[in-house]
Amino acid sequence: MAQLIQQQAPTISSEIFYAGLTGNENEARQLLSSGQVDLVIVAPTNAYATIQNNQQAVFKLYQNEIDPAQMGYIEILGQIFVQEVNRRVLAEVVQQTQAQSTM
Amino acid sequence: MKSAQQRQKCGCHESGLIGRGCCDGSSRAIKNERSPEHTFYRIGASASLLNGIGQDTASSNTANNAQDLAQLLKTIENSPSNMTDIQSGQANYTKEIQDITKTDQDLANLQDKLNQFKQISPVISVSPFVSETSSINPVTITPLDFFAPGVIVLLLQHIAVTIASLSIVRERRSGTMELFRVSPISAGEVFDRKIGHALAKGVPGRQVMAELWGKATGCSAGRGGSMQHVRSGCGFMGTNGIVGSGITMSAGGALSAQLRKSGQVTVCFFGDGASNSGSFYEGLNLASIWNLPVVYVCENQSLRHGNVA
Repeated sequence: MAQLIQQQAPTISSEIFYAGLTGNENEARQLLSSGQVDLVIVAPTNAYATIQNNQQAVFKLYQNEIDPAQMGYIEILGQIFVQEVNRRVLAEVVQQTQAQSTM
Repeated sequence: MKSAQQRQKCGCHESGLIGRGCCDGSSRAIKNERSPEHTFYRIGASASLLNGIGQDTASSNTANNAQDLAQLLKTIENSPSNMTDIQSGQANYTKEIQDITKTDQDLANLQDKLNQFKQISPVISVSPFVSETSSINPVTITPLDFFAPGVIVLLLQHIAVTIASLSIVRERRSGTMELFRVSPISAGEVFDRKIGHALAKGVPGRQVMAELWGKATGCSAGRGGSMQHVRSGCGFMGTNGIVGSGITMSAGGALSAQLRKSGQVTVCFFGDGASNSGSFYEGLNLASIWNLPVVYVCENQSLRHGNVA
């Protein structure tokens, strides 16, 4: 999972500059509070099981802005980010299905 | 298998009149079903039965039926070789059964996957992930709170510019602008007459300018602005914006020098307008009674601010 995020995160959006990966959510939020990062994205745990239970896996985005315009911008950015993730997941599924169908 | 010679021994085969009860037809076929030979006889018995029916229903076509039966017999003669092939293929049945079992298992697994897939909503299948944005900032600032002050400031600026424009137009109509133009004072003198005294007394120009811009590096730490320039290190007691107040302050400074016996002399500059204030009389009275070391310089400004005579 961590390796996948490190591979995909830097290329997922040109508006988001990848700063790093950590397994500690509190540490990431402290970095956000201190202003060292502008956005923290928490990937869903056990997304496969969540989707199998007919529920959407949630990417949690944390920001520390006070400007409503900036807050709205980050919210839209998060939606674009997730749409890109969904697009890549669907493309991967279709690619695997095509590979299996030609076996 | 019964050969052609053996069949020829049978009278019914020779005559071509094969029917019910023919030689060893149906009875043997029923007893031994596994042998290909018996299969042959069973087929032969069935053919005999059909032929018998043909005789009963169309006796006039006997010759044609005989030809058909001969053709049928040739076909049946080739059947044993096919049966041999089937027998040889029995050895592969076990492997084929295993393959079929595996295929059944795969199909069952696939069915389970399909059932799971069908249980997932189409929306979730297409968009398995969703975002949720939240702020860690404890203070919730609404757009109204954030933008309203800026809008108010803009409105105030607009009002101020409008009023200033109206004021300028009004002053122009009353002739104030023309009065400024014919006045003997320069722009610098209009700006502030106190600056010259500070510079003359040794206050650094950098500190004077910093004070005018309200910076902490100014001679009054940015708190005095254009009116209150103070630098005691240079012997500059300071200026202030209250007309005539410097007269009594300079009397105090002179009293200090007198008591300390420092030999210092205080010089006070004030405009002619300040002579109409109470501090003018108070200050000069004290200086005269106590014989203070102070010099008062009255600048004739024609009752104007900053006008040097």
